[in-house]
Amino acid sequence: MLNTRLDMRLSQEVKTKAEKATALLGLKSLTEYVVHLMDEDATKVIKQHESMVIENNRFDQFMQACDKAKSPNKALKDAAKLTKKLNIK
Amino acid sequence: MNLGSKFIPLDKSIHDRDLFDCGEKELNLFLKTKVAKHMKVGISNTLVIASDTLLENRKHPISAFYIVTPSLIERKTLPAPLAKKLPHYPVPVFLIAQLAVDKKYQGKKLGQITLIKALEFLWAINQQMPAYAVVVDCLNEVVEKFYAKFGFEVLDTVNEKVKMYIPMKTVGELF
Repeated sequence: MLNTRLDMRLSQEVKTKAEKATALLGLKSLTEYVVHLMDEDATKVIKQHESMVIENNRFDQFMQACDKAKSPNKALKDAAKLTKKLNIK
Repeated sequence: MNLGSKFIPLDKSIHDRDLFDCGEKELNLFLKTKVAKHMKVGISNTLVIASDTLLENRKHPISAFYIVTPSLIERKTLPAPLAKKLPHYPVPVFLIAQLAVDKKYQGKKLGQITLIKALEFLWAINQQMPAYAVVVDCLNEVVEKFYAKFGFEVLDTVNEKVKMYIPMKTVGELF
């Protein structure tokens, strides 16, 4: 649904170039081109931010470690006890 | 001098972000300029513990903070038979993107208390939105040593930064 607006200022040079690209891609308007670009790029940027790609052997080790998880070590248990004792909410 | 008694979501009208100094300029600046915006657009959540002390600007100085966000882990390549075995892929995790303590409170175990509170917060979210592990981004070797001490293991090095993790099952035994 197209129910919000975006005003933008840009140089004539970029606008002329973008109008050419719009025509070459067979899109109806400059708006359609910009929206298409934004949607595609924003999806990419967000995906890059939200996910990490790791080496295969590292991934396999990670999955195994999560499955057969160790108990917390003494330092971590002590830290949890201290936090509880100090009553930090 | 008091460090505060509870962690609450960062609120620009209550918490002073200008005086916070953890010794890492990059991180101080991040708190000042990016964190509130990231919360507003739903990128991450920042929880802070602040002192009772009232500054001249009627705000409270931040003693420590942590930033958390849900994240996903992908295997560089994934053969189809392996993909079938994984119930959730990409694998959901939580990320502690930052964790910092003001210089005034460093060396007083506030770092480990902040870590415990972050893990407790994520453990509660995990009940609604299950994840495999808690991942941390390490800024430098000092940070790596800190997390290693508490049982975090190396996940991988991405863009020259070491990522470490602790399984959610391990975290669950603490609470």
